Amino acid sequence: MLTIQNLNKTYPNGTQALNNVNLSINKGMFGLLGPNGAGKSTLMRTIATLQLADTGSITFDGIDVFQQPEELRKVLGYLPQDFGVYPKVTAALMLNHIAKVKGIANKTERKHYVAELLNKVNLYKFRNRNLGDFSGGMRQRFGIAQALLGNPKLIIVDEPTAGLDPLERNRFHNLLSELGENAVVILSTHIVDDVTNLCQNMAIFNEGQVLAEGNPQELSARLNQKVFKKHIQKDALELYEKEHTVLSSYLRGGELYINVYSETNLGADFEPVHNNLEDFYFYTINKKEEVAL
Amino acid sequence: MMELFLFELQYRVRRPVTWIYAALGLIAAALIAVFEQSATAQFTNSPNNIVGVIGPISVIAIFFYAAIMGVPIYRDQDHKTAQTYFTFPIPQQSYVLGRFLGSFAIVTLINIFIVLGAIVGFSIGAVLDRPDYGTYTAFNLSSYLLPFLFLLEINAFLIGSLFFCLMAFFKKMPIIYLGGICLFLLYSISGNLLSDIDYQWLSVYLDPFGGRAFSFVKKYWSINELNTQQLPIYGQFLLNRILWLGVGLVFFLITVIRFDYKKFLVTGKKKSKTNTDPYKSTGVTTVTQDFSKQNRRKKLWSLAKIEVVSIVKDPIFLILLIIGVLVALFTVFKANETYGTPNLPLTRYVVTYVTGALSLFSVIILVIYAGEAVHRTRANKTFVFYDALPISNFSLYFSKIVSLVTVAIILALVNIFIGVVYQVVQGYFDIDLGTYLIYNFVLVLPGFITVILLSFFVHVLVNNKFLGHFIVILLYLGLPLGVTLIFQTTNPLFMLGGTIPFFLSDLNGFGHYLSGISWLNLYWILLPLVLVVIGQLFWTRGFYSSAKERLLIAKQRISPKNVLALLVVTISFIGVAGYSYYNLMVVNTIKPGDVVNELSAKEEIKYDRFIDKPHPKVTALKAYIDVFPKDRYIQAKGESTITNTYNTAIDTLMLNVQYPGEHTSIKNVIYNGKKLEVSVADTLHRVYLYTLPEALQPEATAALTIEVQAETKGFANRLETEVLHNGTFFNHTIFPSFHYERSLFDNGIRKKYELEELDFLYPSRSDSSALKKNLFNEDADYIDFEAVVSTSKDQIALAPGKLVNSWEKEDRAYYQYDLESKTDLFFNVVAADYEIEKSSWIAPSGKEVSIEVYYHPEHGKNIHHMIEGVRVALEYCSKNFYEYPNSVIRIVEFPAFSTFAQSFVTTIPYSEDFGFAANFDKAEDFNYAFRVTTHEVAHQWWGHIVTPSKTSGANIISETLAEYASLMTMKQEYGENGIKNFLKYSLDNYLRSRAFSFKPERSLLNVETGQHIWYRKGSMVVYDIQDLIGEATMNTALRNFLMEYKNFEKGVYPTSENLYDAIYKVTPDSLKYVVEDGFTKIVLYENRVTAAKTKQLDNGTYETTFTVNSKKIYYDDTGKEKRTDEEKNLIEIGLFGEDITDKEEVPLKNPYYLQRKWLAPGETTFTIITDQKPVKAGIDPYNKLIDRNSDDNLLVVEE
Repeated sequence: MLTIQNLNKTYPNGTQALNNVNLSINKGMFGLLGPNGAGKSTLMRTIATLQLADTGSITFDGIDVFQQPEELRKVLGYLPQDFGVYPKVTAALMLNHIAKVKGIANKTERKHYVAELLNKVNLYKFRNRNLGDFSGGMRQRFGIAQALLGNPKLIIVDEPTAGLDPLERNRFHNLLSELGENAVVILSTHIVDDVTNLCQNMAIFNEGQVLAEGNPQELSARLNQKVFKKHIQKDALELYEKEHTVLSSYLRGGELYINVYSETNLGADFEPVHNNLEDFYFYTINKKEEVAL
Repeated sequence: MMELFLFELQYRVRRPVTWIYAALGLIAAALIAVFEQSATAQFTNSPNNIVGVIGPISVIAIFFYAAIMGVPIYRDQDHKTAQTYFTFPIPQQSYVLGRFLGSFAIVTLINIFIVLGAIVGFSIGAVLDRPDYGTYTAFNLSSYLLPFLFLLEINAFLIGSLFFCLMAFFKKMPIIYLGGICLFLLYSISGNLLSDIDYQWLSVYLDPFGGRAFSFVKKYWSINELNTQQLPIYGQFLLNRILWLGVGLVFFLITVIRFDYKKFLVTGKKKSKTNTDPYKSTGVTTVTQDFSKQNRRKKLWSLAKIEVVSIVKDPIFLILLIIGVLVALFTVFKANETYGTPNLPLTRYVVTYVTGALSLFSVIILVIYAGEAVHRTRANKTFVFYDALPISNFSLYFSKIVSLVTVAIILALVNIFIGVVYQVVQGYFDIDLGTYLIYNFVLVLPGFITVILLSFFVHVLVNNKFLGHFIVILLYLGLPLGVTLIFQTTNPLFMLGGTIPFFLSDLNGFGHYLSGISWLNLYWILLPLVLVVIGQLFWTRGFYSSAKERLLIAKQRISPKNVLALLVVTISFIGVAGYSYYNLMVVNTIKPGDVVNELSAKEEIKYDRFIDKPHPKVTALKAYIDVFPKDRYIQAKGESTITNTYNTAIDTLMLNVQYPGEHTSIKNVIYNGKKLEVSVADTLHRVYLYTLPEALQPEATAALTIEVQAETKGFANRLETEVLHNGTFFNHTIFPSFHYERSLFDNGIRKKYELEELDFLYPSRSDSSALKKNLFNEDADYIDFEAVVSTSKDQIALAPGKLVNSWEKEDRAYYQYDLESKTDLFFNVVAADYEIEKSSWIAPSGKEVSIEVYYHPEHGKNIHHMIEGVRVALEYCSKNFYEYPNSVIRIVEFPAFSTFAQSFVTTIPYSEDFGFAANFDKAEDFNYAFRVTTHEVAHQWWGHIVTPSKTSGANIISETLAEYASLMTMKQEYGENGIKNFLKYSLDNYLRSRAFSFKPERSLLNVETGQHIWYRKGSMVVYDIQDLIGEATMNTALRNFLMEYKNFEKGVYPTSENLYDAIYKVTPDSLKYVVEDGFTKIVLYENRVTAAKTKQLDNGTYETTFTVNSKKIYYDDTGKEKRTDEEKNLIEIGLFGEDITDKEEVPLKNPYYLQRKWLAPGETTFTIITDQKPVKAGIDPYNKLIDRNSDDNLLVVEE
């Protein structure tokens, strides 16, 4: 189990990237949902031993991440959001090397294991190609492979499906959910669907704070019967935003619609909708002072 | 465009790094200018010296230029602004032009700072009271303006446009480095070419920076010209500048015209490997993980392997290595020669030249990749997952160092490989792998490791690639420069990577030097290792947001293990440093130049009164000298008879220790059987005074025995060549001298220490007491000499004289020599393990003279040239001057610490680099073994039978006449044609050296220090005189001269004027001007052919009309023109066919017509009829006269 307590981090430029973060994450897939710039990556890096926090603590299965980073690294699989590679090294050599680093000492075992892994991420036929010559998608798959290497107990994936085509994305999701059966998997993303589809638990994260935490379905259900939809004129948006809690505005066939949150039924003009996690997500982000509800 | 220009400008002006560069330029220029020194009459701030300061800085500034000019487009690429930038409505040309001009404006700003620095530096220098730094002239703006425009600005433009172009088309920073390295290569090559008389003109075209071209143009400039002439914006220098400005323009235009947004954005895609074999699952999905200690080591290797692969697969690495290899091959091919004659590709030569060239590139490679290793995971953004892998900080950190050391080992192996391949290709199979291995792994590799550790640490700490490289370069170039300039020391403990000096030799191998070198190498590895161990704490892993956080992390990383490691390394370092310091500075000493000067000054103040004071003179010496090669130790006992040749009694004996070894002590002094106690011991100056029990009365004699011991201790910062394991060579200074002599002659330094300024080093020719002083050693006139020398059993020990006995005792070999003739007190002792070759020569009187060569067993190839030289010179001198007085003459090889030969009576020590290892197979190559031998043998007459007096100019009796005899034997052996190349070399050497005259340039009659005068000008002068008056007449004059002064029989030693008179007397009146010009004046001709035309006459012969222009100018001793001659001179003119070759394929001139003519100054036209059609017309075609431009003496004849 991963426990994060009172984690704070302020950058020298004044940005508060982490603001008293507390989380307990059990085995299984955990989604960390938040907009760009919310501080997700900072949190991920901090858990992945790459960055220090100002205060607070992180423990994982008895390992204090700040005190024993080397211990955590032994059980960690980490796929960062934007990473590079050694351009002149082939995928097979690099994975083999990482396998060694992750303590897989037996040579044959390592070789077979790496081949298996390469196949899993669909890179087997490119195994002898220099990483520098990989396309963005291939590189991402390589990143996935290295993160999964060595049966990690804690897997952190930061915006993992960026740059993957739908097919590869599904493949990856399947891989992840397999792993989630006996590891803590943290999926950081701004795509609500990924969380809905994959995660047993989640947190909504913005401006360095955990705004809501729980099961995606339960969280989503909190707004049942409280979300309404309306077709409006484009220039009327400002007006509605003043009068109502507008969760989101979106186009359907060129026409503008808004989703509105309301405790009470807003009457005939507004049509109740079958609300989903996205509504809750927007609701949470907009109304962070009411998170406690 | 204006907008882009201004943007670039503003961006740069706001960047602190711009100002850092400007400040560095200013400081560097100012420092170098402040410490600029002039030992000649050249002003310290002469236009030439200003160029000398600014020129090299403009080369080093490549670094700034690369950082500024290479970056602007790269910046758009790197910051990914290019994509958007190119969509703005700016024409591509404006984009490029704006960026370029903006950067160039900044570079100009930096150049202005460099010039300001030079001005400030020279101004400070002029104000300071430092007479030893030379005199200053008034400030002259154009002396700075011209180099600013024609060196700094043009170079900046050239380098800038090259870098700009490379970046616009290749988009890779390393390509820029490569471009810079190529320019630097051209610069070095053109520098090397300057010393090659046949190809130096190429430097005008090859030198991208102008400095070499200027050196070529000014090579014959006199000091006066160096002081008064500005950078020559005409002729070949201008050509060079226009050429390279043109090259810059081409790059510039290519960039502006051909730059294309689209292409710039397209990243090249190579075809990549795809394996098509389908995957066969092995089902291995679960694995066991092992994080044990043992496995950690494997991880370290695995990490290192990835790093090594990343380096060696990098094209830049390969390109650098290939360039390095090419340069190494070029260097060894070009440099492995002496006087233009190739040396044999001995391992010690090949390894030195190959490694010398390649290690520069190796260091560049290691510096670059040390930076890369530190920044790689950051630059390629791998660190974001890599740093989260279960690798200890220790492994992560040291794997990089292991990988760099591996690359260094690869480079050392490449060194060996290239050397061996070169030897094999040259058909030389005597490959000495041991030398290769020791040289590369014991001497060179540790230096590489120092580079790695230091660069690595700097990069870790600085954490910025550019700044890191810059600091590393600063440490490498600036530190030694600073230490040398400011502290004036050569202490290797302060010179980054410094070790004690050493030399490689076939006789002596690596000698005793390896242990000292290894201690210092260890010192230079441990010092940066201490830093690297500390650097571990600052290694950045993951993300950090502030310096404070870095410090926090560093603090966290302090562990008992790290502390222990630091302690161990630091203590080892202190131990090694202490031991090295003890050896270099306590047991031995290092005296910086300043300290030596101060010591000499104090000594002079203290002992000045002893100059010219009566002192004993030796009349007979029996020397017992024991050499202990293994311990490099000498024990010597000299039993001498001394006399008083003065009018007053001598009551004090001065013993002045002159032997170079530091641990020399006088053990015993016995005067007429009585042991003397020292009355005044001045150990600082090594001068000891003894009061004689009874004064030595005029003309009385006494017996004096002196015992001396000379040891060596530990390792010193000196070659200590006197006694080596195999190859001992020292001279009579093993015994202390009886008098004091001045040793400071530079008037600047003399002024600094408030000593009287000296215009002449020696007394004038009118000083009657000086006429009684032997130039080589005034402690004796001519003496009887005997010696018993011993060495270890495996060696032979030699001293002058005939071997009368030899025996072995207690594992030592003893040799007893007895000299048949008399000699100056000037002898040598040589010992080594030798092979002996014997031959003989029969004197006209029938006496047999044994010719012996003592040489290293592997050096037998050329000794027949030496024996031939000995025989020819014995014959020539005995026949023309006086019969050789001894029955033996020896050539004895000594180790290659220097390249010279020296003539002691009957014995000529000869460096192993001076002919033993040459390849004289091609007949056209200059056979200096023969020539040097004849010169040295001639010294047996000119030097030993006739010894010069201790007066100004007298040394020409020794050197110029030895040169003369040598030239005559060459003429006899090779014909007049054969010495033409030698004369051309003499001429070039004399003209080039004039500007370096340490005192005003003296005439031959007055010369005191200039080798270029008594050897080179002297040989030109005497050759021309004998050519005019005839060899026989000349020899008669010399024989008469010799008979008058031989063996000090006259009671005085001859002066240069005595020699002059002897020659003058036999010269016909019409030609006396030649002797006057040659000996008493400084005369340069400017002869050339201005037109030549030929036509066939009806009878089939050819009528050629050609015009020659002759000019003869007299100069004063500062190089100022005094007057142009208005008299006629007898000068050779001629018509020539195509060169022919003799039977050994040596090219020869082919004269159809050759005649001396009295030529009036200015133009003279001749019409000559020859049977064959001439190809060239010439004036002084064999370069017998001293001509400032000897290349225009021949002109192709037109039809």
